[in-house]
Amino acid sequence: MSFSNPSFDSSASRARCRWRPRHVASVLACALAVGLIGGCREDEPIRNYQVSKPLALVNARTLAVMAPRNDRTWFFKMSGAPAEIEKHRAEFMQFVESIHWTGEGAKPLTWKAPEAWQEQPAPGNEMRFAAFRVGPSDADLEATIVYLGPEASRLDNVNRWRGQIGLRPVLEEDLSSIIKEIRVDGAPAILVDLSGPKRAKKGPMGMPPDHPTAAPPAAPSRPVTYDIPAGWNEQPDSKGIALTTFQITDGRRTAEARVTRAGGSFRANVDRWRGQIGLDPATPEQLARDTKTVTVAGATAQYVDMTGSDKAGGQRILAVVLPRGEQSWFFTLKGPADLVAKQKETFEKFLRSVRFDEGAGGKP
Amino acid sequence: MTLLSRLVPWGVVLVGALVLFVKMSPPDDDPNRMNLYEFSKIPVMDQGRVKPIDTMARTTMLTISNRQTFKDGEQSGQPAVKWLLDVMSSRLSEKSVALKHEVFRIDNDQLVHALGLKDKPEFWRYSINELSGKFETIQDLARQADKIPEKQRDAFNGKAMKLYHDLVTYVQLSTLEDATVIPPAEAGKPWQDFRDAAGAMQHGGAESATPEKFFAMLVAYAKNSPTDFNKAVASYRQYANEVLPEQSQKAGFEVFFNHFEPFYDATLLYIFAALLAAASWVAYTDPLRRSAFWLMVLALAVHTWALFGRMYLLNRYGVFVTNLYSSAVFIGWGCVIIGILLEVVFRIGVGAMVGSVLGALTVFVAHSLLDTGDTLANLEAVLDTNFWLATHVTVVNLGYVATFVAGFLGIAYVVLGVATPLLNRKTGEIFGDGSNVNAGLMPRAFQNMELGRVLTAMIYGILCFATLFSFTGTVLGGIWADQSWGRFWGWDPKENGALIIVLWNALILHARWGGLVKQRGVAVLAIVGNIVTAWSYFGTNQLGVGLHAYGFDDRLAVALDCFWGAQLLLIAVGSLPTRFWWSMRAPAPVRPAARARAQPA
Amino acid sequence: MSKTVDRPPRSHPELPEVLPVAAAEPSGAWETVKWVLTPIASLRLTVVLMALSILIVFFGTLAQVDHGIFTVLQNYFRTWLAWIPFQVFVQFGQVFLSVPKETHVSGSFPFPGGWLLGGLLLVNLLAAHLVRFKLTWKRSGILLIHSGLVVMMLSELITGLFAVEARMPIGIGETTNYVDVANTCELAFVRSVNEQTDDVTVIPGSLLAKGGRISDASLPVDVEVAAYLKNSDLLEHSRGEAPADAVPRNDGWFFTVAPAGEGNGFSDKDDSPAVRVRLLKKDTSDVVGYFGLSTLFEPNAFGRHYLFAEQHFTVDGKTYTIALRPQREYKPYAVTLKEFTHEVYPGTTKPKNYESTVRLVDASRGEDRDAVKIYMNNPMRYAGETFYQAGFFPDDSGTILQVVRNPGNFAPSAAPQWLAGYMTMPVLSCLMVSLGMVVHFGLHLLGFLRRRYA
Repeated sequence: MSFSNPSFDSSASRARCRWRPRHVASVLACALAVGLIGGCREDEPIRNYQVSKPLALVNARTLAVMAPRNDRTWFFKMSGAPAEIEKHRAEFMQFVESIHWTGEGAKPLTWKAPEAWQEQPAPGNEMRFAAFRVGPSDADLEATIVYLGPEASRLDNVNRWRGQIGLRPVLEEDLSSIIKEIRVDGAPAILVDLSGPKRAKKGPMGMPPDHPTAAPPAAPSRPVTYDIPAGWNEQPDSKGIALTTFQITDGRRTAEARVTRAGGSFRANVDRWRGQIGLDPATPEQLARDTKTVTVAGATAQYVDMTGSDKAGGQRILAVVLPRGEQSWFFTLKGPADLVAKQKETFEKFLRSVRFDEGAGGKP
Repeated sequence: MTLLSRLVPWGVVLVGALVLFVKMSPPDDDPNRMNLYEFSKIPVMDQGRVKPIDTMARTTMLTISNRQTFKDGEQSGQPAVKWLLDVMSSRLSEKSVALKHEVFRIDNDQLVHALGLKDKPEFWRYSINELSGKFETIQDLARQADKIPEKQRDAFNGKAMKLYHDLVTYVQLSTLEDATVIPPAEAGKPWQDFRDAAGAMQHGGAESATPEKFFAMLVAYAKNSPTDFNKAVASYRQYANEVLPEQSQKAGFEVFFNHFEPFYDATLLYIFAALLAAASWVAYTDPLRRSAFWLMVLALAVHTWALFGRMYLLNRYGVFVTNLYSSAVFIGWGCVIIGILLEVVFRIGVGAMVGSVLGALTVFVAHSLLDTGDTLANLEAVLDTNFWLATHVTVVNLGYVATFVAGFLGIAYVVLGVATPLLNRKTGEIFGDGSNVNAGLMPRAFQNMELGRVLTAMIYGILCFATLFSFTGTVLGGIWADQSWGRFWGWDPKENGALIIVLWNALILHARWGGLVKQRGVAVLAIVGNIVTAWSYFGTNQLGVGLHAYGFDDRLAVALDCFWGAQLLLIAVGSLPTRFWWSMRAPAPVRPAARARAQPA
Repeated sequence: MSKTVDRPPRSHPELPEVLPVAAAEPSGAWETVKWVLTPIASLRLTVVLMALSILIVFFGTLAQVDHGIFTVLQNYFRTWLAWIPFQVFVQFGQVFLSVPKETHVSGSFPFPGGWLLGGLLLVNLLAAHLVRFKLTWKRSGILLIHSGLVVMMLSELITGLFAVEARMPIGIGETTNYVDVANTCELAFVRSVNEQTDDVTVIPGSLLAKGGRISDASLPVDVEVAAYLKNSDLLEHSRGEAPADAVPRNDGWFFTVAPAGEGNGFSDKDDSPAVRVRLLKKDTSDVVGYFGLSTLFEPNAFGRHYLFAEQHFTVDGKTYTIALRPQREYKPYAVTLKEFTHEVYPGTTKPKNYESTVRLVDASRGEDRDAVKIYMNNPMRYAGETFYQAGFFPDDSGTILQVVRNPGNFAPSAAPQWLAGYMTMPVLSCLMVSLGMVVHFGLHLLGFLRRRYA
């Protein structure tokens, strides 16, 4: 029994030596044949051709007016299906013409809304000044008045609106071809009329959707500090949303306090909490009744107190919403009504201990 | 043959069957104790699949703890479903034991120290109580790790992220958030989150009282009232049977399957069969060999039942392999079948030995793959085709099967050749007087052949099958890819691995036909086939690139190193000059090989 | 003891392993050919070539840890000579033997490439059959196996040389009449001629990759390539810090191109080439503009999710848009996406099904197919091209179809859809080889049984 190595034995290698020239020549010949097939691909040339322009799809249209006035920049905007916008275009322009700035105070400007327009309840978001339902309620068309600081950039806002309806942004030098200089209440303003392929997403109250590029700010390790009240047990975070969760146990019942940071309007969040304890979305009166303004970490915050029906387990939620940058901070206490009542004072004391680490707020 | 030797195999099989029977019977249902077994059968929706709550508990616990049981106080080996119940009801009682269960596995000393935990070598498992106060640190560590690109993360980063996710899972279970346990009131509607369903019910808009029924079980459990618990479970089960008859039945079967642990049982039987087969070469040859054979047949029956049970649960008949776990199980099954066939034909114990060793080994490998999650999980859209799963995947795995069997036959050749004098002796002499060997399919001629020649014939035959299956399976995979996205061959690591197996098998056959290698050469090259197949099967996944990179696991790398090391050692031994081979030194009574060379054919 | 029992199953029963012809002097033309071919037909050569093939495949697999599949294809498989870096062994060690991650070994060694080994194996195979050709039942299996392998090799050759993979991203409601050829790019200059028509001039990526100054009569300017990146990434800048060539996105951030590692070539990880160019007035050194362009700036790069501003310049009073985009191939047909659905398993993000409902209109052939459904494992075939469901836009607002043209698929247009997918060279080859093996090994087994039980 022998084990031969899988290599050429001596006779084979002699044969190989003898045959090498022919051997190699044959192989090369065959290789060349394959190479010819493989090698005959030429470099592609520079080409010139004419082609039909791609058909532009129009599924959405935005009409917007941007007017800087009294240390603020005001935006009047209507966005929706192209046909609907066309129908209400004249009304919108009339509305813009009716704008009159009165100065400082609770209502720094007046307007005369077309008859068919329905003014919507005061939105929780302070920058959203007013909103109107345009036309029949099923058309879902809305006009808004929003204001920002005095430094708002024309280009950035136009590009943001373009993005919302699926249009590529433009460069500074192209801006002039898109905007139209107009005057609102005697002051210079710009009018933009855009049509794009993307249907606008419907956020709460037809708010412009959060732009996908607004990446969540990098979470600093300790943006907020507070004193943990006695009897509150810190729990691991459940969904990666809450920064911190505390469990408060009293006998057999437990309540939960949470510190969270998220987006969304004040109204939408209140309605979400109300849903959790079996309440219908808030009417303006309810919202006004349940909400008060408090100071947390030196800033103004909204404080809501909601109690659910007994049928739904008699749950109560205390929530504080503190807008900060793009997002808001939420401090909530949720649990059986009597336990929450007992803990209300502790919760408010906890709120007073909240401090923010300045400079750890993430991107502006 | 004496009566005793005839009875031994029957006795062995009977003992095996008894063990199986005991494992099969459900735990007794003492009305004074909580009937966890019944509770286990409750169907829930988890990871996109309706499954018994038992499977959800087991897979969750496997992920968190790398085990399916836990230690409850002093009682070890408690079922996962008990842990799940403890966790789900933890917020219903003042003093929940869930916080004390040591289940969170942190097997990284760096992380253990960073968290200031006490060392628990060999155990590595911690309770919520032990971790309390460290959640923020864990979250910070996990967030830092999350910012590091995946390829640059080290073990510490990975474990921190895993621990964080495990804690999130725990809290979700304890708060019943994201627990889609409430079945739809009518078929076709989505399952509901417990909290949503409960909210809807309290709100008055509920479709059914299911959340209440579910909650009743948890409350009874929290109250530690077996009577109430058993009643609530029975009522819930009855309700589930009405709403989801088919899924409830399947859930019941799956719980039985989980409880019976057929693959584990089969492994035990294979190990015993292998021991018997090994012993048969030492003494008491034929009765032991037949015992090993029939024990293997029994184990194969269990193994087969389990494979078809999986098909029933998945509702994919003819599909043996849907993930790495099931492929390991299937490969074991194939190896055992080939082993049995070899044994039927050759009756020299080698088939039984190789088949049972491979059966045990592969199922063991499958078991260590378990913590990747639910082994019956749904398939990605691109894989969701029974035709290709049943053809390409099955055939390519049969290719692995045949290559491994050939490789292990090669190992048998080397071991028997170096460590025993048997290789150069005639099979008829080794295995009794010939009357047993002669019975059945064993060709008479083999009695007059040396064991080495018989082994080589076996290896050669199996290699032919290996070439056929690995080639056909690989090309079928290419055709599937061509059908799916128009690329027959993508040079993806897994595809390349399969190609290497085909080339290697073809190389051995051509080397043999070309006379470059003879008996010993074929055996050694077949062992190299083990390395090649392990590379294709596991190694390519480790690279973490390509379309088939579905099974990355750093523990596998270590296991692979060990396997490759062992094969290299065997190859080295197999390549030792013949003077070190016991079989070659021993003066053989007859030297037929030499004679054959003397007389030209 | 009979002779048959003792005959070792050593030699290939049909192919003589030694080379008896070698010694004889050639007489006649055919004999000469045989005389030349015999050493090439050696089984030993086969074994050596197979061993080398295994190694090149292995190296080509390891190389994918660091390199994209297209680079690996070019450097290992579709080449005559491959230079294997020693680093591949380090990589193996890093994955399996805990070699430190930062270990790097420079240098490389030459190794026969895929074309060479494939070609030699083919030659070896053909020579073996020429030298030892015999048409007998016993050899029919071998003949079938080997012809099947020849078909397979030819198929890979045809695919390697002529197959084109491209992508067609379509938004819901959109109609598209061109495809983006995979892993290519071109620098396009587009000028609006009138309301309906654009005038387009494109420089192919292969020319850009060479670098240097590119001049052509059809180009409005001379193009000086400062850098060509095989794959690129985008760097984010705020308005204040953005360099002059930064490109704005809708959200007010600005981006410039940066080099990136290569991807592995599957649909979600295509390479995104980039180029930095200086545009000069023809035959002068007057700079018209400087642009850093990446295919990532194209709307389809992120499935319309991120949009970047178009870049343009004006020369001789004409305004041109300049863009680096995947090579665009216009088709005689147009495809409209009517509907797109994307299902996931409940409670997970695991995809269950994607499905595009499209309409294909080809005025040149008078074809109009409506409501064709394309989903996983169910492509649409039309005019030698196959359309596969390959991806979708992040917000499910559109689909990405993979469009493949492979001349190796010989299905006539009249063939029914279900059959057409199987009328390909690989399927033919698979059938031939598998059948051949069944016949060959079956004959062996029969012979074995007949001999043993006789």
